[in-house]
Amino acid sequence: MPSRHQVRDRIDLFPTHTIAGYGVRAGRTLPFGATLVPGGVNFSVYSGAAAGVSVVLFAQGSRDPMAEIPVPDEFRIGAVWAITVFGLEHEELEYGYRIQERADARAGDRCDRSIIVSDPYAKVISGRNVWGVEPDWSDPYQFRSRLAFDDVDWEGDRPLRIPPEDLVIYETHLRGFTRHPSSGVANPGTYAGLIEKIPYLKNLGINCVELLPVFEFDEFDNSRVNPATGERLFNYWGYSTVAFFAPKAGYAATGAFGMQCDEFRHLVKKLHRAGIEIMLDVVFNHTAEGNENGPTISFRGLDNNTYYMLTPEGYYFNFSGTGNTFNGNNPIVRDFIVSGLRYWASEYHIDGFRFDLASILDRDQYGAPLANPPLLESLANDPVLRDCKLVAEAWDAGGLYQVGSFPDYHHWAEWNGRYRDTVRRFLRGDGGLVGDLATRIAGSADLYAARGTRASINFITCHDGFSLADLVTFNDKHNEANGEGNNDGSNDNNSWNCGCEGPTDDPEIQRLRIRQMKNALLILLTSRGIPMMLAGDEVGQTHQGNNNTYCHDSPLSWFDWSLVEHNAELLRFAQGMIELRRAHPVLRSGDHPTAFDRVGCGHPEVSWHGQRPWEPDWSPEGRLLGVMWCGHRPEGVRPDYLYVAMNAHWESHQLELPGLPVGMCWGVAVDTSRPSPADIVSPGYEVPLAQNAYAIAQRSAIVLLGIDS
Amino acid sequence: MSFNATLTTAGRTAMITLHGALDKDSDQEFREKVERAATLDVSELVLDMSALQQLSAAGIRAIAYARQQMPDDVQVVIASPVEQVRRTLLAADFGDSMVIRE
Repeated sequence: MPSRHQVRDRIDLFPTHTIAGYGVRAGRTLPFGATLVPGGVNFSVYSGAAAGVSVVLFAQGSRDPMAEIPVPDEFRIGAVWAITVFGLEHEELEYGYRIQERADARAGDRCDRSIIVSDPYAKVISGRNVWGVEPDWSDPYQFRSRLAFDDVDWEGDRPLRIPPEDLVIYETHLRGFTRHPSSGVANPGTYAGLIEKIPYLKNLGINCVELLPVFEFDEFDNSRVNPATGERLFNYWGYSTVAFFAPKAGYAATGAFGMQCDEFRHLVKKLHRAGIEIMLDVVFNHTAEGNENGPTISFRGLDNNTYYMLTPEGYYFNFSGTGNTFNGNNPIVRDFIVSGLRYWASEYHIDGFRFDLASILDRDQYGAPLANPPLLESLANDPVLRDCKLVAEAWDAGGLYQVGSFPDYHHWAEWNGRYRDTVRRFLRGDGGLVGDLATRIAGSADLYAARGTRASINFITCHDGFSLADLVTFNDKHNEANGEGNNDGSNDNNSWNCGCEGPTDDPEIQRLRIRQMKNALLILLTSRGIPMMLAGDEVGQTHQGNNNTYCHDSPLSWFDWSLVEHNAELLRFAQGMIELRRAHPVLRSGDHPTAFDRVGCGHPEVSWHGQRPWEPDWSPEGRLLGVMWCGHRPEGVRPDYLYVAMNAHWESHQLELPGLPVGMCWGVAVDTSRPSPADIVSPGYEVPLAQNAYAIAQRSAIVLLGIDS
Repeated sequence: MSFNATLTTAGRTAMITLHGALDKDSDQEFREKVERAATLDVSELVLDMSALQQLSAAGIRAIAYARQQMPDDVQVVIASPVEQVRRTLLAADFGDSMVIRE
C-alpha cells in the first residue's frame, strides 16, 4: 500500500520573520559563508567582537545597498550569526556585513559600524574584475562578496597524485606567463591564456605548475608612480590577500562576467589532462589590511583580536614585514585556514600548496615559536589534504629560520634555501664547498634525514631574487625601477657576472654565461630532492638585474616568448635535462642515498670522486666534484650507472673515471662546454669513451651514462 | 533582456536557435527544448547562438546540461557565438565534448 505521507519540500525553507521587506528565518550555522539554499541564501558569519551583525545587500554594481537586514540575536549560536534570506537573485547579488561592536570592547577590537566588511568565506569577490581598471575610489565598499555556483562537471578529473620525488616544479606568475605581446595567446595574462601554453609546458617536460598567488588581491595595493620614470607600479605579485576562498577575477578572461571560478577550474582540468599538477602559493602569514593605518576589508572589522597577532595593548605584531601578522594558531583562524585549503583541494582539485613565510604559522598569538604548532599539525594530518603537497618557505621576516627544522609531521616539505645558496656559491667558484655540495645533491640528509629527499624542494632561482640569466650577468642588484632607491631586494645574491656587469657583446662572456646557466640546470636536475625551476630560466629570461620585480606589470616581468626561438639552445638543453632525469629513477629516489650496493652492481648507490675516482677533493681549494649513481633502470633489467661531474674551477681537468663492469663503457650524454647540439644528446646516442678518462672543461659539468661497449 | 528558443529539425540534425540572454531566468525554457531534442532521432544538435547576446553562469550550466542530456553519439555544436558569448564560453570546458563552429 503506497505511503500517504509525501515529502515535497524541506520543512525549514519558509520564512518566519520579515525584516527590511525580506522573508527570513534563523539560518544554518554551518557552513560559514554564504550558501545557496532552495529559495534563498544562507549567511553565516563569526565575530567574537560583535554585539550585533547586519547583512548588507547590494544589487550587482550598485553603489548603495538595496537592503540591510539586522540579524536577530535569537538567530545567533555562540559567536556565529546565521540567517537565511529568501527571494534573493543570487547571480546579481553582492553582500557584506556591518558589525556593531560590543559595549565591552577589548583592547584591539576595531569594529566600525560605518564600514561594510567582506565575508572571509566569500567564494567570489567583485571589485577588481578586470586587471588594472581603476576602481571608483569613492565607493566605500571596494571588495564585495558574491556567491558562486558550486556545481562542477569535473568529467572524471581527479588529483594526479604524482609521487613528490617525481615532480619537476615550474614556478610562474599567472598573468606574467602570457601577458607579453609575444605570447600569441587569445587572452593574455589569464587562466585561459595559460591553458593555451600547456603544450609548451608538456614539451618542456615539467609536471607541476606552481602559481604565484591567485587568491583575490588588490593590484592597486600600494600602487604608485615611479617618480623617476613615470611608470605605474602595481602590487603585481599578489602577496597580499583580500579573500582566501576566491580566485582572482582580474586573472580571468571572463572576470568581467564573474566566471573566474569556472575558468579556473577549466585550467585545472586542462593541466591534469596534460599530466601536470597545480600548486598554489598561499599567503596565510598576513592579509591586505596592513597595519592600523591600512584599510578595513574584512578580518579587522569582524574580529581583530582573533585574526591578528596583537600586543596586549592591541598593536600589530609585524613578523611578515607587511604591517600585520595573521594569527594562524588561534583555533578560529586555524579552522579558517584548514577550511580554506580543504575547499581548494576538494572544489578546485588543487594538488598542493606552497606557504609563503611559513614560519609565521609556527608562532603563537604573541609571536613565540611553538614546539607543536596546532595549525601545522592540523594541516599535515587533515584527511582532505592527505595527498596534497605541503611546502613551507621555512622562514619569516621576524628572524625565524627553520630550514631543516620546520615542524613537519611527516608531511611538510621545505624550500631548501641551503641548496640554493650552496649551489650558487659553488657555481661562481667559491672554494671549500665540495662537501656541502655533495650533501645538497644527495638530498640534504643533514636537514631531512627523517623525511627523505621528498622534504627538499631544491631550487637555485625563484620569484624572489635573480632569474637564472641575471644570476650569471650581475654581481649586484639593480632595482632602481622599483622606486625605493635600490634598497629593496636581497643583497645576498651569491651571483657572478662572468666578468662584466650587465649585458655585453663579448662572445666569450656570452658563451660562459650560457654555460653557467646550463651548469645550474644540470646540477638542479641531477640532484635528489624535488627540483623547482623559475619560469623563463629555460630561455634565459632577464629582468635586467632587478631581483625584486614585485611591482612591475610590464615586459620587465613578463615572459618574453621571443626568447623561445632566440635562446632555443638553452631551451633544448633544459628539455633534455628534464628528460634525462625522468629516464633515470636513481636521480629522483625519495630516499637519501647510501653507501650500500642496493642493486647488486658492485658499486654503492652513491659514491664521490674527484680527478681520480674514489678520491673527492673535500679541501678548501676543491672546486670539482664527481658523483656516481648506481640504481635500477626503469625497465628493471640491469643496473643503471650515471656519473656526474661538476667543475667550477677556471681550469680544465683530466678526470679518471670509476670503472664499470666488463662489457660496459662510459658514454657522454651531457657536456655543457660543448656547442649545441653536442651539449646534450638524445637518449641512446651517448658518445662512447674509448678510455676511462675524460677532460672536463673549465666551469662546466658533464653527465656520463654506463652503456654497452 | 528577454529570451527565446526555438527547436527545428532538418534530416538528422536538430537545431535550437537562441535569442536574447540565456541566464537563470531563461534557462528553463532552453532546458525544455533540449529535453525535447533528446527524444529525437538525430546525430547532431546545433545550438545556434548567432542571436544570443548574453550568456551567464547559469546559461553555461544550461549548455552543459544539453551535452549531458544528449546521447554520447550525438555531436553537439555551438554555432556562431557573438564575442561576449564566446568569451563566456571560455570559462567552460566544452572543448572536448562540444564543437564551437563559427
